[in-house]
Amino acid sequence: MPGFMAEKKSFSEPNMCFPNLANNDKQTLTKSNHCVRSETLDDVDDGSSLILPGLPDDVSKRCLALVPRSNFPAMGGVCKTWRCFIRSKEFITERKLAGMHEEWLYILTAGSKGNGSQWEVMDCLGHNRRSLPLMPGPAKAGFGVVVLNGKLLVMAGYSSIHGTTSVSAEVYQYDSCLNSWSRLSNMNVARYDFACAEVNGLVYAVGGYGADSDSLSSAEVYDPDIDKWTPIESLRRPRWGCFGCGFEGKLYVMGGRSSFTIGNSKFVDVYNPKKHNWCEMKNGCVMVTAHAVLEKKLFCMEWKNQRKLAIFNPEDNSWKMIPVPLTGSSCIGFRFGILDGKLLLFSLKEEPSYKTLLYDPNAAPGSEWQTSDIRPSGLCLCSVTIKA
Amino acid sequence: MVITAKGKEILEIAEEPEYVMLAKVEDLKMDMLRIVEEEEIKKIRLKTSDEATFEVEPSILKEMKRVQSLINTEAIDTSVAIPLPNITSRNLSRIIDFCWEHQYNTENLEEFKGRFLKSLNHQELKELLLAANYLNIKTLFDFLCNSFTDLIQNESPEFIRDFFNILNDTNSVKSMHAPAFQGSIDDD
Repeated sequence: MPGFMAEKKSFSEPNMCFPNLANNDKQTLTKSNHCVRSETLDDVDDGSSLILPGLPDDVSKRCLALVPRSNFPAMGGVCKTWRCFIRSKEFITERKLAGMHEEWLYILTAGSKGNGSQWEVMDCLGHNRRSLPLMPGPAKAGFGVVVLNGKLLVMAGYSSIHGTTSVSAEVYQYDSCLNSWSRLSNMNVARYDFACAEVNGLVYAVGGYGADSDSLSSAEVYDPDIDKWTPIESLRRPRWGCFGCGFEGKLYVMGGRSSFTIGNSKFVDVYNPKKHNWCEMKNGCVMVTAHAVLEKKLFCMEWKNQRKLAIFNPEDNSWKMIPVPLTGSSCIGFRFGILDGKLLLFSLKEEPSYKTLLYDPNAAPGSEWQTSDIRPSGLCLCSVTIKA
Repeated sequence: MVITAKGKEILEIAEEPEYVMLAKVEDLKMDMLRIVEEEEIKKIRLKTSDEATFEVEPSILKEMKRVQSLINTEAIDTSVAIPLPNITSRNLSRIIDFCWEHQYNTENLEEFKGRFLKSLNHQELKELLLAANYLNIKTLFDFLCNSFTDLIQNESPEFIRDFFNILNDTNSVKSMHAPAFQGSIDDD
């Protein structure tokens, strides 16, 4: 007979030795307190202060990661430790582990009548539409946009002030959790109309036009952990007006023009970061007016045929064409958005009767095409999707 | 000392004459004997930081992944109570309560959870969260994490700082008071 040996004790709270507990339990805690971003961008932070006093950080991190995304800006104002955690890569990872990732759609819309362009954001249902704080720096065109670790990078581009055009190498980062912009290191080469993409946590920028509107073959890579752009092997020939995407650890540059071809380049330049070299494929698409990556496939729309989606599968480098249904609207010309694993087709014309077309690659045959209520408040210049 | 109907907890009843207590303990001993006889399954005993010993049935123990793995991997002598030097009897009793309800209370679990949470002050909530983390009880850990999350949600930075006793080291007044989604360029 097992004894119930509880001595008659008052259950007034004894001093719990939880600080010990936290220490004894190290093997079950992941000790990854890296906040590289804060080291490069923040003021002094000795990292000694706990996220929640009395709790080990691993537990606190889980608690913070469970808060809905719309609360992050306020949470970022609590203290430096919180701010540092919320802007860290680890936070995004923790959210993903907890199944808390929320997908938000960011659309850059052209302002009406002289107003500058403006980023707007909506949640995965197209609700809670808000405007982002204004992009810093002069109004630009021809810049590159990439999403990296829950952040939006807006790179380079050109601006015209009083008739003088200047090409920029500046890079700005929008932190989607803290709802704020900050400036990152400049690129090595000022450029516009270039290709850019994220591959394995690094951002690549390739080609474009340079400061004197000369076409560029140069390329560079950005490492967010050290906030630094480093030149990589150049393209074999200058290329501009092109776009980039990343598949299976490789960078693909397509579209636009190249100085060695007449007209538009059908070549695909593929960069292998492991081997630091470029190779070529011949079956690219030309004159691409919209592109987006969804489920490891590239969706393009070519200028010559805006009634079809061209879908590139990098596994076998094949293309597949899917007709875009007629909707009774005269709309041709689209910009793409991605939300919840589906492709959204925003009209390039502000036509009230147009309902945003939605293509679901996983839907049952015959019902891939639907319409969606999600539409930008103005003309869509570009859009990105950020999970955090 | 009273063993509750669940046969799991040891609670204190104050102000009872000793003979009543003794009688009750005797009764309960008999009860327990019957239970032990009825149940073939072997219960495991856990000893808290304040030297109280709890008998825990396997279905509850299963939730305590840490204890379970101790038993499985280290071939611990289960005739001796397993010491849990980081857990008080009050918290262990709460934990067992929670695990029990979580397993067997199918009808008004939410109601129980509400009551459970209400009975905890901020400090106790922390202790229990740590205990759940230590014992690796996923259901309780997730539940308590979520209740912390609820404390943070929709609150201003000032409230959060006050509530959790966090030092304000943000020097930018602007960002402190900036409402959500009207942010500005970071100073840093």
